[in-house]
Amino acid sequence: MSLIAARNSNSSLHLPRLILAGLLTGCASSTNLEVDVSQEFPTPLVVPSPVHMGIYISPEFEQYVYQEFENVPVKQKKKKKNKPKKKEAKKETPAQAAEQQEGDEEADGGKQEIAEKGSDAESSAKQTSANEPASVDSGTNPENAEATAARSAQSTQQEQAADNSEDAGDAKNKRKQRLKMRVALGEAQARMVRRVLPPVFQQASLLDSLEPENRPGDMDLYVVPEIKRLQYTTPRSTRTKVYEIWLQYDFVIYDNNDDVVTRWNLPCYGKTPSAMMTSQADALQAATQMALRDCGAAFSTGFSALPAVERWLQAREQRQRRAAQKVEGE
Amino acid sequence: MMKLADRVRLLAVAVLALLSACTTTTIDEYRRDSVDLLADRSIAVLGRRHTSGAVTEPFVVSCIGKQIGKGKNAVQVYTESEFADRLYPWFEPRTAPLQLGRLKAMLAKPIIAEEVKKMGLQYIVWVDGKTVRGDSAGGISCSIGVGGAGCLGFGTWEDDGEYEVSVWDITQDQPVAELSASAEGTSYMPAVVVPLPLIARVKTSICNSLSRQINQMFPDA
Repeated sequence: MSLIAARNSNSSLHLPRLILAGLLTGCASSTNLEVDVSQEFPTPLVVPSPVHMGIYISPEFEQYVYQEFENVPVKQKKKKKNKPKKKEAKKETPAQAAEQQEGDEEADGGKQEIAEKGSDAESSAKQTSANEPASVDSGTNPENAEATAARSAQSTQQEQAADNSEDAGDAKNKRKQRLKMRVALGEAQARMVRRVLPPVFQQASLLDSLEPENRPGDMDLYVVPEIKRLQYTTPRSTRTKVYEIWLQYDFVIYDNNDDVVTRWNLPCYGKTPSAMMTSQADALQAATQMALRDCGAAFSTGFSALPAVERWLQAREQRQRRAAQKVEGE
Repeated sequence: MMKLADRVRLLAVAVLALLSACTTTTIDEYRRDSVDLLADRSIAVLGRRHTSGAVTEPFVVSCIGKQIGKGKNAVQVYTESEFADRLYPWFEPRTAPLQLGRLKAMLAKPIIAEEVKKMGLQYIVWVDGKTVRGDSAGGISCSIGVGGAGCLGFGTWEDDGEYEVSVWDITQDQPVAELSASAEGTSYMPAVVVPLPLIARVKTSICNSLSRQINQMFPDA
């Protein structure tokens, strides 16, 4: 009885709750992953396609960073106007006081649950928006693939600005944003493209820009890789002892007239058992490297079988045959 | 009088004996033909990881490879990473052949056949399976105070491992041998002030049993 009364009147008993909340906040951590760029990609053992391919890696692709934020609810302080009620509760019988206390706790729990549900929904929405910089459609006109990169960088800045304004808004709603996951993938994926793609073609040239005057004259096609999406799962979310990562790329192949030959959507997958890894970052590192390796495998085994590429090669062969016949006729 | 080094060795042996709890391993073996490994030929030991659920532990695969490599009938063994790198991208999880027919179609490509010939590869040993945590019981509680910290309780859990091994001769249409191994191990963790884990080494037990069987298939090379 005296304890119930004390709980209603003495605010010092909130201290254990605060300590517990502090401890729980301490448990939450963000993962910052710089994908190891020292990974060696083997040279693909494939018959090179009979094309001279240009490979253009945009600054956006090379500097790609995946970021995911989550909203963390901040516990609101109890309002002062509740105090008189509590004082009144003191005058009630102990049983009534206990009922009152239970009612308060239930109401608090309900509020917190709603806040948490809200934050989950916003977190998933935020995750989608974090993917958006990579999802910017470069369009079918390749004239401005570089402009796309600039647009994308601008949209990233706008998003960051939006994030800041959301932060300000969140302060009103007593929520704060926390970086949950950051994966700096750009350099590693650019390295994979530079290493794995050239041996797939009879001749390959790495392009510094897409300006026609900067391209080799005898180049048949050029490819521009774009990352569209990054997704991951951890043992905590799937209840399996596996870390998984999915990368979704678009390899946009253009001909020498800057017309799109094909937009090749390539999903890649990597996973690692958690048992062998010491930390979440290590496990995701290994899974990402497996996914990049998988992308290289998919590209090198699948390029020559692409229907659009096959059609393009056939058309070129016909053109060459007609030209040869014309020369013979003359 | 016992020397200090002897005492340390004795203590280490005692600790190791304590740390390995009981494990039961069962091996089923099916051998189609006699297996003769030709001189200067080699073996690759690979794990199956073709689906999300297939997560053969790298530890088991590398352990079997090492055991085959250093057995009485030691043969040249390619590790998983070395083999996958040399034949990249044909033995990645998405491209690795699941049947011998697919492998034969793959070897029909001259560029791959030439590399396999250079490697002197004759057998591929596929390891497929995993160890999962089974039932667990008991509990341990630990506390910390001004006077110190300590634990009290008893925990026990089971690990179940199920593995299948398929030995392919790249010149034949059928696997030359198939083995399956299952192992169960119960681990214990009594805790009186300090927790003392007695871990059942299920994966090591599986590795030792399977490599012994595989080594017996190959007569003196």
